[in-house]
Amino acid sequence: MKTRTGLTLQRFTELLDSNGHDLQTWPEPESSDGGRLLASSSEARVALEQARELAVLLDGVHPPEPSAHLTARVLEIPIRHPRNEARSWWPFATILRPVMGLAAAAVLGILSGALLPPTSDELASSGASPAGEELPSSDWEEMSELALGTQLDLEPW
Amino acid sequence: MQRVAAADVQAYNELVHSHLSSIHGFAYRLLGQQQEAEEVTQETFLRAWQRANTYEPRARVSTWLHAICHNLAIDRLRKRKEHANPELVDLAPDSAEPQHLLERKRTAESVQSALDRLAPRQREAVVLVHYQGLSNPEAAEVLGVGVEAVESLLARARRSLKKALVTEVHAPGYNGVQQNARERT
Repeated sequence: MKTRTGLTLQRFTELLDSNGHDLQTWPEPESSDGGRLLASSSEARVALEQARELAVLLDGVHPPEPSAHLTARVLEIPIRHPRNEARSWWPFATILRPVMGLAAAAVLGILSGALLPPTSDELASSGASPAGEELPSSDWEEMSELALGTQLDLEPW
Repeated sequence: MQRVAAADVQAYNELVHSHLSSIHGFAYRLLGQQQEAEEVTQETFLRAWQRANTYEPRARVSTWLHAICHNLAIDRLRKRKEHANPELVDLAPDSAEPQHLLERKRTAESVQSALDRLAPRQREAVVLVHYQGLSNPEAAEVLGVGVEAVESLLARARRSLKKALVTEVHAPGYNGVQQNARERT
């Protein structure tokens, strides 16, 4: 049956099946033609009612809501999987990392050499005493007697 | 999405709050199992976080997330080899419940059973368009087919569903589906 709208009942039913019962979501001119067909055809109205009933039946089946545990796990993703933004624009990030480590170690070495006091070996090689002045051997003997109650053997070990 | 692509955690949280329920529902309707649905949902948002820079604004964010989730769910179903029946959580009749609730549960079981009997691609089309609210072109994008193919899938699915549910309505001892539908219109 073809009406003056240009839309047959069969085509109207096909559109109900493929595009759903909401005629406003149908493409034009089918949407307008469908409205006119509904006004003139009781069979079209029955078909529309069946499509609506099906939609309501489908709406009666609900999935469970996401659990609090799932929500927490999904929100933790940026913490569990931090993104390294350097990778997105710097292609040598994996090479850069060890090079930067070596450079940091070198800077620390230079700074510690410049700022820390010299070791006893360095002092011995330069000929200076830790206190800046060398004590005579008699003074060493007296100091060791006072400290240890005996005289230290000053012979080289 | 640009902010998510720039590793903005606040933007990511907003994305989760806007889409988690929908994506989880989609995964559940495709997989029919709560645990697998949760795993696929997590994996979907992990990929969204890690690959946000691949998002193209020509598609809605929702469509993009559905496409990721769909691919992950289909992989699972392929590994399973066959679709499992949904668990139908909270649909089992309880004799202590009022009559109208029992009828509603029976109706939901019948509808779910009819959905389960659809061909997988038809069910995916119905889920995307009816339950997830995507337009036919958006569903076509998620499924990787043309709009006409989606319309064909939907038409066959809806015809099958109407036939199945009307058949059940007229089966001996069954009188709940259509009556409940009318009550809710």
